[in-house]
Amino acid sequence: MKTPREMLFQRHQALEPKLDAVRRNALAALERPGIAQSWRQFVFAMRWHLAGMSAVWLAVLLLNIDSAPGSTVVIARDKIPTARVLLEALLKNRCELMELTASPAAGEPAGVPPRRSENQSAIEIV
Amino acid sequence: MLVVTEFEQLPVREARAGDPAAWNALFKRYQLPLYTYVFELIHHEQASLDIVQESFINAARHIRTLRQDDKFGSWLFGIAHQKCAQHWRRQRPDNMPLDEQDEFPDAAGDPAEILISKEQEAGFMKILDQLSPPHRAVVLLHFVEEFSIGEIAAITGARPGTVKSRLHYAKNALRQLLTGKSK
Repeated sequence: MKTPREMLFQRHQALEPKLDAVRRNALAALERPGIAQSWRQFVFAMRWHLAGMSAVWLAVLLLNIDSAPGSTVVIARDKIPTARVLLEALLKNRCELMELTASPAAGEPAGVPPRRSENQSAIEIV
Repeated sequence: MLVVTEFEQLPVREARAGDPAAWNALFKRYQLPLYTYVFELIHHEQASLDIVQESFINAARHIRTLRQDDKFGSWLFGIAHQKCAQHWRRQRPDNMPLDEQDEFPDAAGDPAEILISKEQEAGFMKILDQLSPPHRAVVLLHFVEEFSIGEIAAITGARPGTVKSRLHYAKNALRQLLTGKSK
């Protein structure tokens, strides 16, 4: 007489070699890393590179924060000429140009000798 | 006669630490019971071998989810049971035999109380095969690993009351067959 358990096990005992192969396959599969494990290994191998890159990005971020947007705008606004200043400069230039054209003598270079005819009229023949 | 150690110390703690020898010992301990359970449920050799292998791999990959080391066996059978349910779903999407719900009078008992003679073996297997899959699952878990009602309920996802009633029904059917034939 057998218990149901003994009877059931004996029915399938012939399959033990196949079950041993299944066991070996399962153990072999465990030794192969899964996707999650591969990713973990990759990240671990690259940890120093990742730390360095993180530090660089952190430094960039800190520098950006230091040169705060408010102060940048103030400095820039001071340096940018307003429309009024530009207009005044333009008008000043225009006036200067007009003055130059109105006085032609001012355009002649200094130290230039007088014309020959002019010199001759100054000499009277006796 | 096949001798299976009942309350051996399983190296679950070592397996948790990733010891391949421990996993080998656990797989060796459960390969035949697990295959017996799966095969008697789905009756397909290759599919049963595949389910056993997948259950082993899943168990090793998700061992962290096991709360109590002494529940390793029922936890492993739970994984295999889920895979059997998936197999049924693939085979018959409109019919989920492992999800049937039924109620019968409560009863449990000793798995060894039923003894089968050589002449009764064929009749026993015939009756077992005639049981509906939910009843067969309960009876197999009771006979193969002698799991408690609570453990069988955890494995199959059924209520303990349902497990008791299924066991009562199945054992009555088997007992009737065996006593009827022996008379």
